[in-house]
Amino acid sequence: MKKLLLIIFSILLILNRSVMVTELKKFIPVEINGWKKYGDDRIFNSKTIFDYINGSGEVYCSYNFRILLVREFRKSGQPPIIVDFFDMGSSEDAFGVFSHDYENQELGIGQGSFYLAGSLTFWKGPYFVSIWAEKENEEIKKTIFKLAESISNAIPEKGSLPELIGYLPDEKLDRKNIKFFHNHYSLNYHYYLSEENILNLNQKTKAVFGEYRFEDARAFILIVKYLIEKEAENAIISFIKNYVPEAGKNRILQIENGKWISFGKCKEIVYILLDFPEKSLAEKYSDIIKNSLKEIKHE
Amino acid sequence: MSEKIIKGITRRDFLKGTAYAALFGSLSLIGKNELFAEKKTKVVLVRDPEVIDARNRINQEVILKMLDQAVMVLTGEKEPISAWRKIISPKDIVGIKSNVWAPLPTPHEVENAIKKRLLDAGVEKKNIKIKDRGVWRDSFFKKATAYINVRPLRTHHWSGIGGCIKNYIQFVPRPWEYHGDSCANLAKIWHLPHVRGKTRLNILLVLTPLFHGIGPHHFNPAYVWPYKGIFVGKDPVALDALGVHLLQEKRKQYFGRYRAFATPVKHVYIADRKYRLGTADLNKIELIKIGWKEDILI
Repeated sequence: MKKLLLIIFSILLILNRSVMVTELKKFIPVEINGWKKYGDDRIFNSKTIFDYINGSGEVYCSYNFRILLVREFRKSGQPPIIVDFFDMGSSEDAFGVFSHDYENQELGIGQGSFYLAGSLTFWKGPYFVSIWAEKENEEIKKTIFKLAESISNAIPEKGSLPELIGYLPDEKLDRKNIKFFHNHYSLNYHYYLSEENILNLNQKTKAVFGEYRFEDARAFILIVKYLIEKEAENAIISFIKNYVPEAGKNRILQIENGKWISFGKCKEIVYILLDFPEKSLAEKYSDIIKNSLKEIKHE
Repeated sequence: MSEKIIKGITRRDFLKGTAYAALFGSLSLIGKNELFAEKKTKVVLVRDPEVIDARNRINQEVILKMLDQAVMVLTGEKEPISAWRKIISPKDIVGIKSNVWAPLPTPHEVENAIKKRLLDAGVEKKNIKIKDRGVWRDSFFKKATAYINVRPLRTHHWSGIGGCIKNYIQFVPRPWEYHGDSCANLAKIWHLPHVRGKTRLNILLVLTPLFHGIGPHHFNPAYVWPYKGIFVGKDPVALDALGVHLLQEKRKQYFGRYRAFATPVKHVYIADRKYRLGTADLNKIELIKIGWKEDILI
């Protein structure tokens, strides 16, 4: 009986995947600007992505991606253009994976977009799209933009931003550069805190990281939502033990670079202010966060 | 020093200046470098503004000249052929381990220059082979008596940087077994029986290094710059440590601040501390700079 259920489950999984792939294919044209689809589309999942992407596959896995569809376009005398179309499963992870590498240049494509020398990236709904050519010329650039617009227009619905972004204080926040992630590898990529996972981040935790500019100084706020309050409590204990052992019962302190750190928690949410240039600013921003967190309906 | 101490390094350790001590504090306990016995590791950096033209083409003659300069300084010889003969014997069977990563491969001009000098040094043509992928099962490489390791420097998502040490991952049948923990144990490959002690020369190309990688393909032409140089030496760890240093300096210049690599470059330091393959301590490296000095960064 168990074996039969397993077989049925596997068949359903394959059928579901097949439906998903068919849906994804609809979003990408087969010809644009004289560039034609070349060869068969390639499909990858979290187990096979490393066959395609050397190294950075881990980034997409860390955002729980479901399926990657790769379509290549060719035109005589030009280098190929590759479309990597990721179904991330949720709009917050689509935003997150975009935020990992890019800041939003607001090109009017998707819900956030970035272009640099032959590479255009955007996110919309639960999808993250990278369009890439090894070299750039005017024709390639024009085609890449047209392709991106076509794909973006084909995706019917927009998605929501991660709710935690709403708890980042707005004043002086660099809104184009907000990061969303799950694990400590991503945190260290944006802000090296510790080689150890001292905040006990994992694939189920949700974190936002915002950058603030105070004249020449750059300061940061990290807000992490854990599954349960106990995890948040443990994270605070671990943070104190491993990063600010001198804090004692203080929740604001100045460290060796003259900057200020402040931290705290509210139910299952932990917030940490880093590199604040003045104590008064750290206090002010901590108060804003505390007040906004009090308004949350905790799960 | 246990590995746990290294793992625990925090940002504050760097602010306090104790991270460096944590990384290198045990070096005095390490015995003589097993593969390359030198008190202070010599590395030669040669740069020439003419090696690449405006269309990114490599000048064959200039790259050969740069290689000659490096090898002569490294060996103390005044003439290229005799310098190469200090590294390679005419009887050697030489495998040149290159790199074929499509966006930034080992250029053919560099491979040609090495091959030319091997022939000039008396190595028979049939005893020279250039290859990257699949070297672990290649019968020529299996019987080779000497390797020359040559590849471009770049950032790498799994290992922080791709340098000399990382280039030998093709000497094992299952490279992914070395991908864990930021590829920390890559240097172990250098001690495998078919690899150990065979490498006579390492060439880390910094002609157009990749200093930052984004997106699925980890490559964008905006993140390479014409540094127009080559690092040459016998110690792969020293070359990689200098490579890390150069990329960090370029990243500071480009981004206006320190910006961490996608992955900590742990494997370079562990190659020194755990596997004793060479030195990652910049204080123990004698860097000899030849040629073009503009924007040298290090």
